[in-house]
Amino acid sequence: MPNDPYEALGLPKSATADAIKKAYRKLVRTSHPDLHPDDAGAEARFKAIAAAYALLKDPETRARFDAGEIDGLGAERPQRQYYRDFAHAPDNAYQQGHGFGANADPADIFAEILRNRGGTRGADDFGTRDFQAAGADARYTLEVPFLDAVRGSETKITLPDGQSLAVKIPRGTEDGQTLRLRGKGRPGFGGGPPGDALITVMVRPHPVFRREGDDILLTLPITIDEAVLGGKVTAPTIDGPVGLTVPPGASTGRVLRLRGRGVARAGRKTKGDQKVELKVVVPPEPDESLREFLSEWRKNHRFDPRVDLMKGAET
Amino acid sequence: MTDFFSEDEVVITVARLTRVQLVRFVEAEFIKPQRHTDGYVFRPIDIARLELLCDLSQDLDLDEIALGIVISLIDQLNAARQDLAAVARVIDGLPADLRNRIDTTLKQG
Repeated sequence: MPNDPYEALGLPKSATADAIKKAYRKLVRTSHPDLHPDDAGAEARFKAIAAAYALLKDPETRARFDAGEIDGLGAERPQRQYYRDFAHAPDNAYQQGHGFGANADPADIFAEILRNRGGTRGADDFGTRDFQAAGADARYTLEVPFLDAVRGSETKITLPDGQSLAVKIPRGTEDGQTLRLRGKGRPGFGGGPPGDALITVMVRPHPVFRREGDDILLTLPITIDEAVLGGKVTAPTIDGPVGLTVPPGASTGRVLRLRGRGVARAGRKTKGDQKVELKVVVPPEPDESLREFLSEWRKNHRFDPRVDLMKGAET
Repeated sequence: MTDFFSEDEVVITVARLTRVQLVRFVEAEFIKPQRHTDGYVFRPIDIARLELLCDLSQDLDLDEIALGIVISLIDQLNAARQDLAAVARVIDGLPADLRNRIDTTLKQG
């Protein structure tokens, strides 16, 4: 496959978006495997064209390619199966009436078919076009611990036939994401390639960490004195504990950001952050001195955090 | 373990397909999923056909009428190819003298 998407579509680098679409459409007409089921080279051509178009149709990825940030293969689509590979399956629900209907004279049908074939080819390739199809994809689900999905890991799944399949969980895998293992599906027919294994990952929730995109969310309990005076505390992150400075006067709900302590997704340069939501926790049994101090404080200080709330409720 | 896709899985697998479009394709009978107790189930052939329908409708901008014509022609083409393959297999299994006679007839044709 050419590495240059412009070359694949036969266009200069200066081509307009409209020209790109036009060129792509024209090539789909001549190369789509389902529009040319007898053309063995169609699939490879179409794949190259589709990958090139996927990259160039989006102004953003096109600009990144032009700037040399990604290569022409960056936009390659996952392998897909074409309808023509299924068209001859015995249970094809879309099969229309065969030529060999009840009323047809077989001699006419033979004559017709042979006449058409005789014009273009010798009789020698009769029978050479055996049915060939890629194997079906096999689908599995796999439950993965939260930290394994975030950090990446390797595991094995045991298939119903007793065999096991090694699965690499890429860093930053999300809940519900499907991993494709090329060629690990069902065997092909008549020498066709095997299908793929499609593994849907279910990420098990973590008791402490939550995930939002590439950011990790954590609720961190702090004491009253840490909330009022500020201080250095230790917060867990997915890569181990780190020091965190609580600013003076921090209330419950205040979110502090630990930059770059979130999820590092495979293929991405920047890591997510960890967002730490503070939660002030009062000692379960406040001691006498604290009670005394606060009783005194209450007498002499007026601070009503609910002023705006009460006003807002009336409008 | 299953080879069937639920409606949700179809929309995930065929990424550029929206649920609304999927429903339209089923209503128009371009796609004929199997009925199951809890809704439709789709087979790998339906997935491949949906990819084709997306190519035709999204990349080539075919509207629903044109889409119906094209997909019907593709079905007829595949049926014809299957007939042809069946005939070719039968001829291939014939005794040599019969094959030669067919060969001769073809060259005269």
